Formats: sequence, C-alpha cells, structure tokens
Amino acid sequence: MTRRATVVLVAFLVSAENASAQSVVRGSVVTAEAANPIAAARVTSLRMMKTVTTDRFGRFAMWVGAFPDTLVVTFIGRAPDTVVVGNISTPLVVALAPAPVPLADVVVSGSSLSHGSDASTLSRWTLPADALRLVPAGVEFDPLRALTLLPAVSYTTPLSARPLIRGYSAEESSFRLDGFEIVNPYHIGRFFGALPGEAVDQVSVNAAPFSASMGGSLAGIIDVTGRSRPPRGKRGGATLSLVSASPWLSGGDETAWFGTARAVYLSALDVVSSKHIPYDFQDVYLGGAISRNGLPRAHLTAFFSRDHLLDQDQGTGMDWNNLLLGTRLRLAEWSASTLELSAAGTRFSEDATNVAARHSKIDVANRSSRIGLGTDLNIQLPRGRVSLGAGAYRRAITNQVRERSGPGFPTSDVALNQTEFNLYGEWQHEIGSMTLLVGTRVDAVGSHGVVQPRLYAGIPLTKSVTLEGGLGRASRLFYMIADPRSEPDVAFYDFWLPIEHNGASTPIVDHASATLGIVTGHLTARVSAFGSSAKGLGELRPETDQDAPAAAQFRFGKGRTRGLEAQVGLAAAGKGLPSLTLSYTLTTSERNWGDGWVPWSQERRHTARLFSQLSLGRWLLFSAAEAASGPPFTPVDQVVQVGIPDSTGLGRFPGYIFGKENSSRSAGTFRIDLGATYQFKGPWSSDMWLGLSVINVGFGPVAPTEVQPPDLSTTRVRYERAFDLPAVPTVTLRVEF
Amino acid sequence: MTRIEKLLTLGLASMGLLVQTGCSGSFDVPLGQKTPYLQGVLDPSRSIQSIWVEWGTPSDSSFDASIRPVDTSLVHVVLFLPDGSQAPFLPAAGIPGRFDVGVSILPESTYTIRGTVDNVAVTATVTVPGVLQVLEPVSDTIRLSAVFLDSVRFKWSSKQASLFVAQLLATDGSTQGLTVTSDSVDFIPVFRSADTIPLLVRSYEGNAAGFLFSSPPATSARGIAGFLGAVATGRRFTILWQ
Repeated sequence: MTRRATVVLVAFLVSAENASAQSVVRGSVVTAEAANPIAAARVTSLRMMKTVTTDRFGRFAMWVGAFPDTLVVTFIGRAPDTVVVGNISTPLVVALAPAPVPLADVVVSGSSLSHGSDASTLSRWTLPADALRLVPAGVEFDPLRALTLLPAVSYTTPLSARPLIRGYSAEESSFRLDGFEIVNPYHIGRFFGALPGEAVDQVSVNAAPFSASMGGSLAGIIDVTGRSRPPRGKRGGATLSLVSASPWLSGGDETAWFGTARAVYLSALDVVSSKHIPYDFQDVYLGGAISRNGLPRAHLTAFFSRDHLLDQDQGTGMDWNNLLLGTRLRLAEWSASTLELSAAGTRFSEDATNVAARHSKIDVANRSSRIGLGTDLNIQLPRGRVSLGAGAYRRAITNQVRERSGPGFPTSDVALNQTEFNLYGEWQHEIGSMTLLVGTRVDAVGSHGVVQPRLYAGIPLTKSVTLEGGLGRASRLFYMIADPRSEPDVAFYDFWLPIEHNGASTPIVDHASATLGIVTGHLTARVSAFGSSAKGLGELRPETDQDAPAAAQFRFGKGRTRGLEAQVGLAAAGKGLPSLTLSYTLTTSERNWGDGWVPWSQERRHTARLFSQLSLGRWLLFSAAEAASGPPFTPVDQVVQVGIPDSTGLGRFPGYIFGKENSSRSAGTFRIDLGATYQFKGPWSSDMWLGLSVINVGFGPVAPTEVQPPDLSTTRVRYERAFDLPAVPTVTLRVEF
Repeated sequence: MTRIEKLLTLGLASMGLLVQTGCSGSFDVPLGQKTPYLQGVLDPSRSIQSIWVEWGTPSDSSFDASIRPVDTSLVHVVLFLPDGSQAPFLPAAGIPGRFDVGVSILPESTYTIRGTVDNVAVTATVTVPGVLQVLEPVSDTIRLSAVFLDSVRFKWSSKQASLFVAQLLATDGSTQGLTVTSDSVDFIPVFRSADTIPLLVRSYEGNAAGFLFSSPPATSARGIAGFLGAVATGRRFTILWQ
C-alpha cells in the first residue's frame, strides 16, 4: 500500500468516525530500568474513559477529545504511572518502574476489563518474567513451566514443559519468539523449555479465539518477548543453578543489544533418574533494538538451541536443534497509524535413532524450515481501530521414517514444499458502551484456503464488572503429530504431514469463549466459559487401539471441548500481608476417531490451584498447590497367552487385550511447591537474588496411573503411577552488575 | 477476625478442597469378563493347519501360561480357501483348545476363517507370505570361529512378509536364541556354545507379526481378539563352531 493510499484510507476512516475536535496522542511505554518496550500495557484516558493497548514495540496512539487529559498507564509487575497530556505533537515516553507483582494482577491479565481496550485480548494473558519467576522453580527457572499460573494452561505431569491449552495438545498450539514461529522449543525430551530464563522479558498466552492477526495454531499461541536492552546501569549478569549457568551481556543505548547463553555442566537427568544418561544441550539468544529519540523503531531476534542425547552412531540417541533469525521494522508512522514489516527464517532439525513408536522401533529424520515476510498496518480511530496485514512464507518440511524393528511401522518419506499466504483484517468499533470487533483471516496454501472469521464483543455491566465474548475459527495448513502421552521418555519425535493426508480433512477448530471479569478493591475475579468443535485433528494411534492394522500408525478425527475457569485474586492490603489466587478449572475434552466420542488422553476434568505470596523485607515467599483429577486411561479387559503351544517354539507370554479407549480414570494428583527469594546487594554495586525452592515438597502423587506392561513373572494386571517424584530442591543465584 | 486471619482461613480451606480433589488414590477399572480369543498360523510346510481357541483371563484375576480351552461345542469355524471351497476346523483329538483342518496352504494366497465362537461371529483373513528367499548366506552350513560372540549376515526376502525370525535351537528343540527383524539385511548374533547348532529362519506376515511379536499384541481377528496369521516355509541352517 502506498503512502498516499494509506493517508487517504486513514482520512476516510477518521472522517467516518466523526473525529472533529479530537487529537491523537502517541507514545511509547518502556521499562524504567532498561527502556525495554512493554507490549500489552494499558493506556487509559480518564477524560475519555477508554483504553488502548501498546503494540509489540510498546507504542500506542489514542484519540483524545479535549486537553488536558490524564493518561493512566498500567502493566502487571510495574508501578502505574499517570501522565497529564496537553495538545502536543511530540510522542510521549512513559517509563514504568518495577513493582512487586501482586498475584491478583495475573487474574486481571486474562481480561481486557476496560471499555474500549483491545477486544481481541479477550483470552490473552501477558506475564512479565518477574511474575513468572514467582513460581517455585524446578531445577531452574523455566518460563514455559511457570505458565501454571494460568488456569487455561495445564501439563501432563510436573516433568513436562509442554503447555496444554484448554483441552488441546501442545502440538495443536504454537510457539512464537518475538512474534516469530519456532518449533519444539524444548530440552531433555520435553522436560524443560529451550528458552533461557534470562532471555525472557515477558510471555503472552493467547487462547483461541485469538486476534485475526494470529494464525498457524489450532488452540493457542504462546509468544515469548525477548530482552533487547540492558537494565539501567547494568551491563551483565548471570543465573547459576545446580545444573546450568546462563550469563548475559548487554549494551548500547539508542541501538541496544542483549545476549545470553546457557550451558549445562551437570547431567540434569541425574536429578530425576539414577541412571547416568549422556546428555548435553546449549542455547543462545541475541536480541537487538534500534530506537530513535527513545522510541523503538526496529527489533532483531536470533535464537539457537541444540540437544544431544546418547550417541546415534552407538545405536540409539537423538539430536535436535532450533534456529531463528527475525526482524521487525517500523516502516512508517503517521499520526494515528503505523506500518510494520517483519521478516523471519526458522529451521528445526530432529534426528532420532531407534526410538519406540507404537509396536516398532524407528529412526526419524525431520527438517522444517520457514522463511518469509509479513506486513501489518494499524490505524487507530477515534472510536476504535483497523488492522490489516498480509504475509507470504515458504515452508519446507521433510519427514523421513525408517523402521528398524517391529511388525509394520511403514518406512515413509514426506517432502513438503509449500508457499503459504495469509491475509487478515480487523475492525474494532465502540457502539455506546459496547466494544465490537470483527475480523477475518485467510490462510492459504496451493489450492487450499481456510477463511477464519472472528468476532468479539465486550461491555461493562457496572463500574467494576465487564462481560466479554468471542467466536473464532482457527486452522493450520499442515499436520504436526507427536506422541500425546506424558513425558517419562526422554526421546521424542514428531511426524509432519501435508494437509488432507490420506483423505483426512483440513484441521479446523471453531472456538467460543465468554468472560465475566470483576475488579473491586482488593478482590479480582474472572469466570470464563469456553468451548470448541474441531475436525481434522490427528494423532499417533495408541498401542491400546489393537484392532487397527499395524501399519495404520496415524488416526484423524474430530474433537470437542467445553469448560469453565474461575479464578479469584486477593491482593495484599498492606505490607507483610499475603496475597492469594485460587483457581478452579473444569474441562471436558473429547475426541472421535470414528468409533464414537472418547475422553482425550490428557483431559483433566477438575483442576484446582492455589498460589500465595508474602513479602517480608528482602524475602519474597511463594507457595503453589495443585490438585487435579486424573487423566483417563485405557484399562485392560483381559489377558491372553500370546504364542501357539506346539508349532512355533516361540513360547507363550502374557499379552493384554484392552477395553474401551480411555474408559477408566487415573487416580488424582496433588503437589505443593514452595519458593523463596532473597534480594541483596552484592560486591561492586551488583544486585543479587538468591532463590530457594522445593517442588513437590510433600512427596505427593503427581503422575497418572498406567497399566504396567506384562513380563514372564507377571501373574496379575498391575496399575501403578507412571513414576514417583520425590521433593526436588533447587537453589539459584541471579546477579546483575 | 483480622484480614490476615481471613486470608489464612481461606487458604487452608482451599487447601483442604485441593487435597480432597486430587489426593484420592483410587481409580476406576471395570471388572473383566471371560471372553475367548483365537490364534492361528497357516504354514505351507504342513498338511494340517491349526487354530487355538482359548479363554482370556479377566483383568481382575491372576493368570499363567496354562491353556484354557474353549469347549468344542462353542467353536464352529470354517476355513475358506482361495478357490472358494471351504473346510471346517474340527477339534484335535486329545489336545484341548486346538482345532485342525487338513488342507495344504499356498504361498501368496489369501485365506479366511468365518464362524462363531461362544455365539460371537468371528472372521479373520490372511495372505500367506511368499517363499522365503535367503540370498546370504549361500551355504546351509555356516562356519564361525569367534571366541565368545559372532554374527551371521543374512540377506533375505519374502513377499508379504513383515518380519524375519531366526531361531537358534538347542539340542532338545527349544529356542536358545531369537532374533526378530524387519530389515532385509541384518546380522544374527550367535553366542559360542555346542559345536553344532541348528538355526531356523522363517518369515511371518503382518497379522502374525503384530500379535506374536508385539506388546501389546495387535489383534486382526474381528468379533473376538486374536489373529489368523501365516508363516513362509522356513529354511534350516547349521552353525558349525570351529
């Protein structure tokens, strides 16, 4: 779009919205200590009683009716700031100072709760790293595991870093780093996230239906914003844990950079296993920011991670690595509109040798790369906004499967080279006190195109109660299938398949959600209802599906979810008083693979979590408790003696014939985690944080119940928990100098 | 009650609810039922073909490797041959659980069984693998000389086969070592033992491979659990230690 055309469009939209006597206030919200842009901060005009949300550059534009007006700028983990603005054209720079993160803010984060704010943030939670660090660390701080703060997120077990969003598997969601797609950002199987904690500035979790600007996901998008600037007066630092060290360095001012790397110096697996398993991994993050007059203009992202498990040339093992290079540029900026260009290239490589898959042992070689450009035009209107965008990406996938042993996991070669296009438009408008947003996204590849309409509405019912709702379709134009079970195995693998593989339909999920938010005094509450209907879901066929041909390793079908999330936050009324959040989630998630509806293998029907926080001088204490009903599993129906008595000479051994899929329920799980942080001054004016935490302090039952495989000495069917997790202590030391 | 007391009370009450929700150690598993299952491997090298029909053990009962035959009056199964003719399986005299039919089996041909077991309709179909071709080793006598462990490279093929199975047999006919592979070229490890050891090589099609060599077994029969599989005529080698 040419500059002239853009100006004409803006003029038309503004005139259509009757912008007489209104002026635009522009600005940027940054962290006080580092001038890092703060995305998703809320800027509220007290005179207009409306709110806008900052973009990825921390920038905002707001139409103001009369001057002076007072803007209140807020973000979780930051002290609010109030700015009185006159009729000036110079952009504002609002620096928010760090503040203790009250748990109640985590509740608020999931709802816009303000008239006129971005309605597409209906199911978006944005959490700064400081909030995530509150969660007691297991071995070391992991931003992906810390998302347990959010009731929309669950995990298979405490060993997993794979967030499951509202009844869908981790593969059905997608990851972004600074808005750029990355695949499988995990270490050690999937026990830990691959993003070093020091690299993370904030994490946002978007549960569908999400903004039309977001695509490539069926259920949710986890977007990690990386650091790109040094904290004020600091140039370096490190985090040390029992297993790894993550140093970082940073510098610059208008052009700033931040780099961190993580190295493992102990076998982290020894923490959970007495067996010494050769393993090492590394990751590197580099972020850069270019500003002009204090206003961010460009951002650069580079990320690399590498894992090496066992030695493939010794017969079994796994290697995988991730590479991302991305940049985002503010191409043009007018009074109330911005034009951005983004470019990114990602590559994921995964080689697994002699890993178990259904009835077989297989070798897997996966390569996935994606490179392309995207552009986003955002126009702020007096009573809303318009967002338009387009992107074109080249995706190349190869997925080679070689059977090593077993009765029939067919050798296959999938080579997928496709050009993906996307186009979206979103229009938000205020009608009286109601905010309405309509949007559409089109994703296309080859002759396949999926139109994904999205609709949101929000209305304040009273001064402190807001009701919001949304509908939206989500789709992804390729299959990524992984083993959906929990994580006792270190090795993992994925299968990449083109859409409509073997006649399966294109994966499409229709989502609906509604949220009632309450903010009053020290109490914050949120109740969300959600539901979805899906088709074209795929998964690796479980071994308990014994009637299927051995070669039919995948299955495709429908899904449906519905549920309720209720969360209450009580902020501390004074120093030395605790704050609490209590959440309860009811989830029903089912799949239909052609033989009727069955519970999804990772469905947790009831989950309750309690977090509490207490500040005592330099000490910050935190506790977390989670109780959940067990996931379903497939019970044994009968035991047969496998082997023909007189002809083969192979002998006989017990074999299980399973009953109806997922017709039994595992025993419930329960755990308590405790954490404490002590902040103090170190040598040479450095700031230091000593972190102490214990995961599963009560040695609680945390793993689902599974049927134990038979052996020759077995005489009864045994159901036991997949593993026992002892209390896991963690000590970390952070330093900034 | 002060505010902090209220918060602590709420926290403790919530914790109690959490414990109630999550700490239950019980879980539901349906009681098992006694149901039959079927196993059969068609073998072109034999003139009599057999199936075994046994009762499974309910999951809530203890089990062992003994045979639990289904009463002959409850088994009515017929073998359908490739030419459309049929032959009934009859109880094997003196061998409870076994049912025989006297037919010759042809490689690469398809056979089906139909009938009822315990009044449940049963069907199962199998395509017999092609003749096993062993390209390596060429000679039927394999000479090995390692002190402790040696290996024999095998190169083989058999149409419709899923698995190749190499059985090292002891002097009493029992299995001394077993190698199962789907690779057309593989190495059979052989530990040094007696001067002469028989080595039997066979190939199984997918139904037999899925049930006999998988855990849990993949069941290809319809109506009841089990399978009708087939094996190619085996080839016997002799390992000669030097």
